[in-house]
Amino acid sequence: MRNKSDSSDIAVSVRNMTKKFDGFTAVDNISFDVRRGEIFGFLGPNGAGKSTTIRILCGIIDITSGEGLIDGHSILKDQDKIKRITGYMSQKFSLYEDLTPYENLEFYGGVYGLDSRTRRSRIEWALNMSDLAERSDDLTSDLPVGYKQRLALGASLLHEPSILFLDEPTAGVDPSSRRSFWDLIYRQAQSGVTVFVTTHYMDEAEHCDRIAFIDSGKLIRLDSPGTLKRADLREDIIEIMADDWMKAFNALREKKESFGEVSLFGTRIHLRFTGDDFGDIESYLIGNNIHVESIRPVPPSLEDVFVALLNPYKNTEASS
Amino acid sequence: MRYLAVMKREAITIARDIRLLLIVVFFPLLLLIIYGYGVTFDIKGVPMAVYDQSNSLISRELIDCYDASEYFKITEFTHSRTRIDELLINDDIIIGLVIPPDFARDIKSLKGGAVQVLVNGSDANTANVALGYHAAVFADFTGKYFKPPESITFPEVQANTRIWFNPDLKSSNFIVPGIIAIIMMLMGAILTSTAIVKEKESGTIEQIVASPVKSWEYIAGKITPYIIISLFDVILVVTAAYFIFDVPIRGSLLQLGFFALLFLANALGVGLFVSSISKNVVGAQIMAVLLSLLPSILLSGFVFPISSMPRVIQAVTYLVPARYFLEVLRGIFLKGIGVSVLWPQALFLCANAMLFLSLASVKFKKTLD
Repeated sequence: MRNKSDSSDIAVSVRNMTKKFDGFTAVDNISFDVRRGEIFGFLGPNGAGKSTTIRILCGIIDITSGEGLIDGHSILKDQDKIKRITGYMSQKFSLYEDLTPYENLEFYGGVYGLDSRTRRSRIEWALNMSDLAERSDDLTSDLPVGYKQRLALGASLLHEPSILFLDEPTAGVDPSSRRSFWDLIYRQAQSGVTVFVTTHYMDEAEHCDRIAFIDSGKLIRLDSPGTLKRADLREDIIEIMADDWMKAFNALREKKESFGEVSLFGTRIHLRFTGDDFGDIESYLIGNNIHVESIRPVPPSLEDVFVALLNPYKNTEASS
Repeated sequence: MRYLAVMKREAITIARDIRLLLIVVFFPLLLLIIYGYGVTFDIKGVPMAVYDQSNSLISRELIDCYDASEYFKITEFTHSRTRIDELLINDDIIIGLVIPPDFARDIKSLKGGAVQVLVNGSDANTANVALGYHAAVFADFTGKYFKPPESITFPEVQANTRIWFNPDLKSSNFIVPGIIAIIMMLMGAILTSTAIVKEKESGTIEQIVASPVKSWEYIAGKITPYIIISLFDVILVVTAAYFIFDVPIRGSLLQLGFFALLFLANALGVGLFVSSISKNVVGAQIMAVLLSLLPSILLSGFVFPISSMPRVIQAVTYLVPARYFLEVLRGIFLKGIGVSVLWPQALFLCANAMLFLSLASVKFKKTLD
């Protein structure tokens, strides 16, 4: 009994998934579960294996070994069932540029086998959702990127999937379009759709219920953003701003044994402080003829966590 | 249902692609006209020069024999051997006739005479044809002058030649059917393979593969518009051939349609196979030209007769669908025959179509890696 209710809470289940391309391991024995109704973020640098994982789950490429279950259906056996209940939005815009938004949506309605009444109402819904009602007869190639992304989202939601896979949906989109796109994702999640999204934008990862950090095909950490920040960062984050930030950064790097790891966030320096009194930092920098504009503890961001998680891992990789 | 959606979408894409429409409508006609008028193996008015050193009644008789035939056109009477060489080198003439000074005397003395014929062999085909005409003209002349004395009679042996199916030996009757085969290969193999590989290149295939559409629904929907286009082109070219080139259509149009569909299955098989092994459009087009167009032109008997090819190449031609289709087309157009005679070709076309389509389906997986 209990088992059953447990499994129905799981939308996506991945066990020991491995994918190799000609000897190169893109996904290396990863296992995780995605809960029903959550926004699940897949976070990692380019080439980490995020897209590969999503493409395996959507049946676009074959798995090398391991298993994946989507709503209890095996990706090895039940592709047909899976494809009816999942929506997929690929990283590269992949609707037809030579068709109008309306024709694109009509095509996907047909491909997903919607009857003509459902199709008509869903197309109308998608056009409104993507704010394209007035441009539904323009050629898709003439639309701005933000509109294209929303149209692609609309197409992937046309058949009302219960699980939505989004592969870097906001790549190359301006910040305000990104924000409005995430509002749409939230709305989907609120209506009960499980959202599996890959991104390399840290601020986007903050929107997720849970985040999986992935690097070089390996799953490093999986938790909610809050827990990650609390549990994975024992140190305080000190933000330092200096007029010669490059010089300051280099100076601090030399003293990382006593002060802690430093990383650059634009022109600001983040220090994972391991010392006792951050007044020491200021006097050290002043002693190096660096003018310090500000030095203060800041709440950790996901990026701090990400840097902290990747560094030790990278070091062991390099030494092994 | 899903098939219809795929087909409709492809049709919209084709209708919006003006270049493609031009290819579909004008290219077949252009090909027909270029080949129909340009590629002709009939030669008339072969340019020739004469160096007549005999300058006698008899030598002028000989020259008149050439001049009177429509196959030769004497462009120059020269006064030196070197001038003949010059004309040959510059490709101004194909045949040079040199008549020696003693020609008339030798003939009158019944010793028999000799003339020199220089042939420009740089275009072997034309040279061959010109030599044939020359032999005919020359035989005419000698027949006139070397009649045996009336007292001696030989039993006469005569060959009564009649050319069937193409009595005027018009090249266009022979070539136009070949063009139909080439156009269908082009539309069937190149356009379909390009259309599928284009989706790989632009990434639209990702979204298709993630959808519940089945491979066969996708492929069938995708190629249906091209089948319609190909059949439209067949009608276009056959009509043009009939009205512009007076190519006779002696057989049944219905059977022509049947064989055209069979041949189209071959072209689509090749096209799908190419699309399954190509990653980008340029690669697919090169591959499609290599696998479909070139064999259809070179190994089908369109230009070079299969019977004169080396044995190994002859064996290869069994895999060239155009070979059978060409026999079918010439049979239906010129001989007025049908399936009752052409069934072996029909069987071979079926076998080849199955071979290509199964090769394509083995290679064509719906997943992308």
